[in-house]
Amino acid sequence: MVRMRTSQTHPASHRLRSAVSRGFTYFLLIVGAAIMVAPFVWMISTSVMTLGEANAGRLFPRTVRFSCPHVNLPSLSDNTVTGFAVSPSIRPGEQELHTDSYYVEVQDEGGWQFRLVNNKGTPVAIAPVGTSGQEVTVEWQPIPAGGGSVDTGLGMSFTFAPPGAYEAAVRRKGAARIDYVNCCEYPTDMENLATADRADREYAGRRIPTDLSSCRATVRKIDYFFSEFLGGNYYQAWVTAKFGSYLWNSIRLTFITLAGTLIISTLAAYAFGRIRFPGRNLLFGLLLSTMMIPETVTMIPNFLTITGNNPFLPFINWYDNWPALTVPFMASFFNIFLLRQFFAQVPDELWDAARIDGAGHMRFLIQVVLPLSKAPIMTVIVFGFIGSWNALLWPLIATKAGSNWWPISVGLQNFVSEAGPETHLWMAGASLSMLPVLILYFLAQKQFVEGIATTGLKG
Amino acid sequence: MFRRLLAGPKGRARREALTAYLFLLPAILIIFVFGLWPVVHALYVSLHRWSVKPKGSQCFAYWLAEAGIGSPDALARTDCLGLDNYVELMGWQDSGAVLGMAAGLVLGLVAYRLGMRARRSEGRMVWRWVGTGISGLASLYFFARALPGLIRSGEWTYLVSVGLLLLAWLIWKGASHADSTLRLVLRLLSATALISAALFFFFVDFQRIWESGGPSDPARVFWKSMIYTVFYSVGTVPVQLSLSLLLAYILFKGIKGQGAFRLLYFMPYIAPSVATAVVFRRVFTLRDSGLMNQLMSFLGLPTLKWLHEPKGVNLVLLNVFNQVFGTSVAWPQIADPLNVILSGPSLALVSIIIYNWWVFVGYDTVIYLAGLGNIPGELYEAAEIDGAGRWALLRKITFPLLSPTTFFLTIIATIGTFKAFNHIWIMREDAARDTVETTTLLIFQVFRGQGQFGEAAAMSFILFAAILILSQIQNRVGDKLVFYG
Repeated sequence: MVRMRTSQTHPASHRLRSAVSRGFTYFLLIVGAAIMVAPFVWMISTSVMTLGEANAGRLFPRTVRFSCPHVNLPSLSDNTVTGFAVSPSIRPGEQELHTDSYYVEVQDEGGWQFRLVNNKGTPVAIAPVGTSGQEVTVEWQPIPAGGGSVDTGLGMSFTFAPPGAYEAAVRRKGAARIDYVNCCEYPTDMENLATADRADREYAGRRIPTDLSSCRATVRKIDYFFSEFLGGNYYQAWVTAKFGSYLWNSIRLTFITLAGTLIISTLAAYAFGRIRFPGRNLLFGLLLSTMMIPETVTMIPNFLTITGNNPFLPFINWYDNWPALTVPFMASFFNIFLLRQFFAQVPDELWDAARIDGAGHMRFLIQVVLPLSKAPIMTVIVFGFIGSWNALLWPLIATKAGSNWWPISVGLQNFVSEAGPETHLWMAGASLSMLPVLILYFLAQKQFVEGIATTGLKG
Repeated sequence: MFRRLLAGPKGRARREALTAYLFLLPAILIIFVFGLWPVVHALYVSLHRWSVKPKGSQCFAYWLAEAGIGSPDALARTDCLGLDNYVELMGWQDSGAVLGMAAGLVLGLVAYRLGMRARRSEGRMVWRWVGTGISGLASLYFFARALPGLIRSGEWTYLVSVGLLLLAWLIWKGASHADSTLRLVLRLLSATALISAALFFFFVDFQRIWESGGPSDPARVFWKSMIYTVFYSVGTVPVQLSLSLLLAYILFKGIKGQGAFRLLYFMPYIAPSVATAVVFRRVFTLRDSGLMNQLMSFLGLPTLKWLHEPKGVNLVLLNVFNQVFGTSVAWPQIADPLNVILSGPSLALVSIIIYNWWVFVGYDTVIYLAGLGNIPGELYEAAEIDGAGRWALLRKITFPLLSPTTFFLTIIATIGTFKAFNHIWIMREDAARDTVETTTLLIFQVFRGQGQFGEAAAMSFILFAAILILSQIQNRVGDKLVFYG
């Protein structure tokens, strides 16, 4: 209203000034929003990169490989050569195979030659062409005049297109660097793992087969979708880094916690909010005081309790099992407090009417009070969900290493600290663990924001 | 018989109570077992040398045996340390003297309180004066007894710093009654000076702790972690709050697309902190390929080691300055405890602080928006009619009416930084050594890594006490400064 008046009475210069200030405001807001969103964008973009691209610090992947080069070769561009495949084997202890970060360089020195380099451009040892393959070298190796397959021994073979295809690229740079992209770098099919003929080599917990030529044949349709459509990294994270099972654990644990929380807090909140009984205020104050106690104080005795070292509850033995991860979270006093405030506001006339109709407290709670308090219950659900999904300290304490009950938070932190610096897989794992929460956020945005604005707390 | 109890009008009240207790039973069971009992249990554990189970006799058996009730075997081999864990962590040389001093202080405060009441009240005055006299004398007695020990062990600095703080508090309190601006300023200045002096004596004490033990001395490790926690708190809270106040102020002016902006700004807070911390561990990596280092190169600045950097941020900034301007200003040679404080939080901790801003700005903004929404619009209209400018509106209406929100957020955020665990645990790199180890992390390490349950429990109680004192101070100060309309 105020603004309307000013725009009517003031001259054009004033309007210009307000337009400039508004433009500046938007500029600030957009810069801020970009800062807020950038890490998420970077996460998603890195999660579909190859390791080489991630290590090279690219902001976006060169090509999002929605299809395997075996099936659909990348199109010809400046320094990319098609019709080319490498399947090196790995000698134990000799070199690490981050297949994606390896390149093949080719050059024309009176005849076409090639060598293998890593993503920093340093030559990588391969077996020389035409030998039995026991010694290794970093020297340039010849390419047959018409292209075709080159077997260097040690299971390493390179298939080249006729050199004419990459002359243009070489002319520009002296030596063309050709991406070695091979979706079958890791076993994409679990059946493939069982085949015996494979180097005994693991990288970050993944076994790498000696012979990759059969990859395509054994990839099943559903695996193909995950391994190829999602760029392979998600598949790696899902199956080999066990994020699938962590996610499933988190979903189960969150569901159990939420169900317990809802039942227990609703009952307790109803008792505090609607029933008069002796000792109500005392009990309320006592339980209220638990809200101040930090988790660091309670974690040590709680660990003793779940391992059966509580002198009064020696029969509890929940260590490394689901009750330890759910039961302690079921009765947070914050939820009881929140619901009680709401339940207490339900008009007494409703209760009188219900009682005349012969309803007891339980019936009144379920049929009248609960349908009236959808909003606070949604708040409890939303924050319970986030809190349970996010819990790290207690699950770390209450489970043993490599537990079958690890939720995704612990799984992710373990993956980050144990596995190598595989940024692209970290990001895939982080995206997977964020996905359910962000979906919920976009669906129930109102409940999130209003819940926080009214309660001022996160579960 | 049951039926008789539950019949009639009295029986109905009993029935109601019974229903209520049944409804409450599961909640009470769980909260008692996992929320209240642990405090007692942790207190008991903190009196021991304890790992899962103590090997020798526990305190109860030991005390009983000492009193001649239990079996005397308990005396032979015991893990009961009494208050030793606390004494060791506090770095007290002469614990008797310090505890005596504490008793003297408490009694002195009681005497002060009683005296003030006696001066104000009319009836039953005599008893209050007698109480004041007795507690004052007892306080003096304790002080006199503790003094030689305090002087011998060099712990008299405690007494001085606590005394200075109390004096500063009295002067500060009186400031609100000051009748002229000059007096007000004088009082505030002298209070500030006294607080600085108290901090100096606290530092003297810290230095004594630092020098009395080796690098792995529990007191030194613990207080260092407390200093890092304070760094973390001080680095996080003010910046976060001012950024979000600015944002909320802009968003509140009813610009188009407010909902979309809110959605985006809120996302970091909603996303699981473990996952976002993993992302930021890569953003703040020491490689040139990290997002932050790419930004630095883009701006023409030298790349940094971020989460791998244990050096203090002031030192790092000096290095950057030297590299950019080609100077060679050297960091002065300072002995270690002072250097830890002067060089500031390590760059690794600063990276975590930046992450914290990113996460919490959205949350604070939403709360501030709610606070702004509660300010009645008529106030602004009335002030505008009176010819108030934009800045005057902000300073005279917005800020004072937002002060409860600010106060609430400060408390929540400060306590939050004291309890923070998830993201620091994820973003911790070995290369940063212990410089990101805030007290919560240290407690977890001592508890799970080293299996010293007793010491960890004692640490957690000291941290708990710090949180309680902090919230008390904030409550007191808040009462004075906050305008509740």
